[in-house]
Amino acid sequence: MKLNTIIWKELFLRKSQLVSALLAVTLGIAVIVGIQTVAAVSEKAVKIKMENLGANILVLPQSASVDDYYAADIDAPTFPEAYVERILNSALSGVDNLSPKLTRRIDTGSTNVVLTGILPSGELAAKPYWTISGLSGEDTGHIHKGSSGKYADPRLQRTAIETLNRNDVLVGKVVAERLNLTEGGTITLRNHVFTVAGILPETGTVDDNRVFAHLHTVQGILGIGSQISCIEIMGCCSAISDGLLGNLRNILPDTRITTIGQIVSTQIETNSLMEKISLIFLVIILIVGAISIGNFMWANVEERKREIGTMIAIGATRGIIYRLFMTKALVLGAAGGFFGYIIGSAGAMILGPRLAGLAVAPMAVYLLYAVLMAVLISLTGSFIPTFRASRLDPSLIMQEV
Amino acid sequence: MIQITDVTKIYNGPRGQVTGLDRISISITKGSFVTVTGSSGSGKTTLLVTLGGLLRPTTGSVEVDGQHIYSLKKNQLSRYRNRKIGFILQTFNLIPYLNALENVMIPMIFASENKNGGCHPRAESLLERMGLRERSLHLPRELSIGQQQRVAIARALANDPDLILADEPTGNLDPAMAMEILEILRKLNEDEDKTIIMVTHSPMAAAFGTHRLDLRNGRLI
Ligand SMILES: Nc1ncnc2c1ncn2[C@@H]1O[C@H](COP(=O)(O)OP(=O)(O)OP(=O)(O)O)[C@@H](O)[C@H]1O
Ligand SMILES: [Mg+2]
Repeated sequence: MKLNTIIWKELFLRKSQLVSALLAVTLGIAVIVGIQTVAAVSEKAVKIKMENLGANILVLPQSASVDDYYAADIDAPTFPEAYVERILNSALSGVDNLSPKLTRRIDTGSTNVVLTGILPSGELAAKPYWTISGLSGEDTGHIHKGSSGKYADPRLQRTAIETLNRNDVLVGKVVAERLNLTEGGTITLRNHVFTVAGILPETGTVDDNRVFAHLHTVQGILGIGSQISCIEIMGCCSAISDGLLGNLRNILPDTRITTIGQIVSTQIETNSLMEKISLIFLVIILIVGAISIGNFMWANVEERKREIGTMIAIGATRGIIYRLFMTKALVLGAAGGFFGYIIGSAGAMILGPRLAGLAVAPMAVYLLYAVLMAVLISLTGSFIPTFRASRLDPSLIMQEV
Repeated sequence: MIQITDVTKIYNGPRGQVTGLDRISISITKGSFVTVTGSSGSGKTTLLVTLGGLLRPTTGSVEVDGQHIYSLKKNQLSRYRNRKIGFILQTFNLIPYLNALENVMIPMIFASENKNGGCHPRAESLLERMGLRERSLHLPRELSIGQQQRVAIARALANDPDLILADEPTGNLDPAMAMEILEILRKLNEDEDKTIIMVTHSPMAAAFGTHRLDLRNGRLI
């Protein structure tokens, strides 16, 4: 027999108390594991969506904010179109695709339209690698879409715009509906008559509200020389972390270079909200779990006063009393963490597809985190009761019951 | 050799101070069988726990083999009790969820600081000596009162202590069982030269001792 025999046999004496003490920790861990599992999957989905959305690096004028990029005000700052050449000539690795844009909100008389000048890839395609990778949205081979590609949302797949006539426009779905535009019809912007070459499928992004025309035409009718308001770059993720941003900044020192990760997207917002909720839960769980375990342990010490007194009288040192109770706390914590992980993962797998529209698989690393955290909670909560147990007066064993 | 000198114990209870022991000095030589008698509240238990290293006296000293036991650190004192003293109590104080064998092994586990589990054979032979070989896997509640007390004696003997302190070990037993226990104690005293200090109310039990201490209001008479 060893000390552990004592712990083990005692552990199962008061089963209902045991279960209720573990409940708070188990459920708390379950909630955190559930949220984190869904969040992790959702984050992956965001990454893939971002890749599908195209640009993940934005080159903006020095004085521009990311808001300007969306607002497209009339006096929003610009920079020379020649910067595109600079990037292309630098042969930076990791730049898979880039598209210069000039965006302006203009008045059509009856309503506002955001006119965006783009350069069709056919005209940018002086460099061979340019055409291979296509315009934004194509799989560049750097992206892991998940084996089944289940995150690939067809609405988010942009198709490459190979060619665009100087007098043609492509119209976002929302604008088209608002202005009653149909394919083959015309639209007059700043006294320039454009033919509607196509209505873009709905994407759920700012693109739906935009009218796309040839960059050089837009520059002409707006009277903005060879200026553009941004360059969207499709950079591969690993290249970004390997210093692509820094290299770009060296080439284009008087611009602002930012990644889409820094741009607020709703999905990222949701994720960070989930993270915050998760954090708040974590704190609540730490406190509630520790208190509930502590409470249980306190009652346990109270009930076992005589037994503990006897053990001290017949020679248990403080170290032994600590081991008895802290090992018990450790076992409780580990069990709470384990069951919490199981319940949380199961919950995420069941609720994930319904709530977030994502297929969720349990994440094995969270088992480790869950157990570690629950053990920490349990040990913390048990410390004061254990301290008390170790200091019980052994002479009380002589008193009659 | 146990020497207590001028020991006074004053309890600071919530309802004022109570004198448990009042300036007591005794010396007990090794191999004695001392019985302690006195009316209820006279300080018998207080004397026993003070001798056993469980209760620090308010003033005075307790020396065992030249060692002032209350100058030991708490953990040292625990180890001292573990190796040198066997406690036998009126209420047995067995661990209810451990079987007889495991109860007997507890002091051995504490002594080895859990390093080895090789105390099994000794625990078995102790139980056998108490006539409990067939009962070693039974829980305390499955044993008769007399059997429980014999398990407690086996536990007290686990680490082969020099000193056995017993507080009314026969108080809860019928006369026949009491006799049995007293015989066991006498044998331990005579055959193994164990020093025994036994608190008792019964004159019959008190007659087993070689020496006798009588207490009244915390004082020796
Ligand atoms: N923890 C305590 N707090 C306060 N007073 C105590 C405490 N323990 C004992 N006393 C008091 O000390 C005195 C001696 O008590 P003790 O238990 O030593 O008596 P006893 O001789 O063992 O009595 P009994 O035969 O009833 O067991 C009593 O007056 C008792 O009320
Ligand atoms: Mg008493």
